[in-house]
Amino acid sequence: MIGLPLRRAGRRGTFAAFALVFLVQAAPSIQIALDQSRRLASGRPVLLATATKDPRDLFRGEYSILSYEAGQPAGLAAAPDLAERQAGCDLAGGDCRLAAGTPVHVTLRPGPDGLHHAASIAVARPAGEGLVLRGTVQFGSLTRRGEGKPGACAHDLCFSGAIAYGIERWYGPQGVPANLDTLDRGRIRVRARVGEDGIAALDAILIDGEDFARTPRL
Amino acid sequence: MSFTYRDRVRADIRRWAALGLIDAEQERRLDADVAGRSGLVRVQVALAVAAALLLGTAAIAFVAANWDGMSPFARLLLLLAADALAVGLACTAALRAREALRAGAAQGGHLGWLAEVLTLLSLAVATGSIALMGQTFHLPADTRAFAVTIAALGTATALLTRSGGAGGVAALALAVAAWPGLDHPVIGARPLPWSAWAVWAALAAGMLWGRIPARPLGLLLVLVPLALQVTAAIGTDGPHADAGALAVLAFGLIATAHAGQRVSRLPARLRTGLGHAETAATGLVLAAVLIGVAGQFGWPAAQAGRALPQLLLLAPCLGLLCLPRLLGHGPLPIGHLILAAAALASLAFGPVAADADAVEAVSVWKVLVPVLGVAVAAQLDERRSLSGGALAAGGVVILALLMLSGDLIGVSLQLLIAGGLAALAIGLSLRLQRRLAADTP
Repeated sequence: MIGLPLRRAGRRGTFAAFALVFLVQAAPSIQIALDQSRRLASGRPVLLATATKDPRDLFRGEYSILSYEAGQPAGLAAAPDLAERQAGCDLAGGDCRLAAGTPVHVTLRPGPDGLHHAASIAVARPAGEGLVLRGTVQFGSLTRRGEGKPGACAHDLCFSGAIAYGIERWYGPQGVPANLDTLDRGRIRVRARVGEDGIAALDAILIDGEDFARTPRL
Repeated sequence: MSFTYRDRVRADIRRWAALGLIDAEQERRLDADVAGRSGLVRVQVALAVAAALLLGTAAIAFVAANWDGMSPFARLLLLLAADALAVGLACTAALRAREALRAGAAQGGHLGWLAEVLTLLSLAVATGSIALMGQTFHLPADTRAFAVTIAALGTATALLTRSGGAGGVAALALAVAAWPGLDHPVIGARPLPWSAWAVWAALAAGMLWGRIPARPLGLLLVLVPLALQVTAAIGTDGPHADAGALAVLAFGLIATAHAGQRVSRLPARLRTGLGHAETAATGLVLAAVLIGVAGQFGWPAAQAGRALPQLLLLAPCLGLLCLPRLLGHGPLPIGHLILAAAALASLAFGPVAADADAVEAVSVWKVLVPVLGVAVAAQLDERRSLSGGALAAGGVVILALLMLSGDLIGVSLQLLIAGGLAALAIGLSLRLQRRLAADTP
C-alpha cells in the first residue's frame, strides 16, 4: 500500500512525485532510442562476415545470434597492455587467460573482399583515425610468438578467443530468423555503424550484398 | 486481515478482558475495529492484481501482433503513453485515497492498495518498454545491466511514491543482478558494479529510514545481494553457496542492528527499521543452516565444510550481542544464543563423504536439530514467520532423512532421543515458569 506520509502530502506534492516517477521510468527507453538512432545516423559503416543461429527469447521473441568472424579471432596481434592489466597473467609460464568482461578495443581493416577484418586488439583505444570497435572479452588467452601450435602466433603477442561487440542479436518477425539460419553462411553479411566512442550499432543484415533487413531510425 | 489472525486477536481481547487489562467499553471498541477489517479487502486487492496482469498481457499481445508495422518513433510513443496512463491512474488513485482518508471514509484503504497496484503496473510497463526498445535496436541481452536498471527504476519509484511493492521489485532485481553465474555460468560470481551498490544503498537506507514501507521479508530480499557478493568474496572457493561465510555475515548484521537499536536518541522509525533488519538477518541464519544441511546431504554447490576462521569470526559478533547485557546485568539474549548454537552445530560437522551411499543416522543431530533450533530461537524472539519457515524446513529435512537414510531404525532411535530432550526442555521450562510465578509478589 502507498505509504502513509504520501497521503499526508499536498495535492501538488503527490502530483509532482508521480510526474517525476514517469520521467524516471521513461528515461531509459528514450535514451536507448536516441543513442542508437544517433549512432546509426552518424556512425562509420563497417561490413562484417557472420554466421547465424535462431534461438527464441521468452520476452523479446525470435532472434538470430550473429557470430562474427571478428568476434572469434585466432592469433590476433595483441598490445602489451592486454597482458599488463590482467591479474594472474603468467606469459612466461604459458598461462595467460583473460577474465571475461575485460573491455577491449579491436582495430578493423578493410580487406580486398570488401569486408572488415580484425587487425589488432588492445585495452587502451589506439590513437589515429582507424576504425576501432569497442568490445568485451567473453573468453580468451594470450600467447607469445612461437608458442602453441606451429604458426598459431605470428606476432610478438597474440590473442585467441571470443569478443562481444553488442551487435550479436538480430530480432526479426516470426519465422524470419529461422529462415535466415538455413542460408549459406557465406551469403550473409552485417553492416554495422560505429560511433566515435567505438560502440557499434547493427544497421542492416545483407544477403548476397543486398539489404535484407534494415534497423529503423526514430 | 486473515480469519486466523482475526480469531487470534479476538481470543487475545477476551483474555485481556478476563484479566481486567481492558474494560467492557474498550473490549467493545476493539471488537468493532477487528470486525471492521474485512478479509474481503485482500481478495479485492488480489483480484485487482490479477486483472492488471491479464489486461496488461492482453494489451502487450495486441501491440506485439502489429509491432513490425510500426516505426520506432510510434513504438516509443505508444510505450510512453502506456506508462503515462499507468502513472496517471496511480496518481489519481493516490490522490483519492488521500482525500478519502482525510474524510475518514473506509474506502481510503482500498484506494491506497489500488494506487500501489497501479504503481507496480507502471513499473512493469517501464520494464517492458526498455526490453522492447532493446529489441527494436537489436541490443543483446545483458541480464545484469537490465536487472540493475529495473532496480534503479524500482528504487526511484519506491522513494518517490513510498511504494513498498516497488521497493520489493527493486530488491528482487538486485538479487537477480548479484546472482553468481547469471550471464557467465562458467565464471560464476562477478562483483556488482558501483552503480548497483549505489542503488542498493539508496534502497536499504530508504527501507531502514521508513521512507519505503518494508517488512522484514523485504529487508531480507535487500540482504540477498549483499550475502551473495560477500559470501563469494570471503567464501572458501568458487561460486559455492558458503554456509560458514553466510552465517558470519548474518551474525555480523544481527550484532550491528542490535547494537544500533541500543543507541539512545535514535529516531523511532530508524529503530523500527533496524529491528526489521535484525529479523531479516535472522532469516539469513536459517539460510546458512539450510545451506549447511544441503551440504550434509551432498549437494555439490553447497559449501558446508569445516571453516575454522569463519567460525572464529562468529565469536566477536556473539560478544557484541552478549557483553552489553552482561555488563548491564540484563538477561542474556537466549534466542540469539540458540541461533548461534544452531549455526555452529550445522557448520561444525564436515560434509558427507562423496562415496557414502546413504545418510547416516547421526545426521539427525547435524541437520534436523539445527533447523529446529532456528524455529525455537525465532519463537523465543516472537518472529513467527521465521519460526514457521524453519518448522516447514524441518518437516522437509525429516522427509529427506527418512528417504535418504540406509538405517531407519538408527534414525528413529536418534529422533526418539532428540524428541525426549525436547520434551525434557519443555518440562524444565514449565518448572521455571511456575517458580517465576511463585516468586512474583
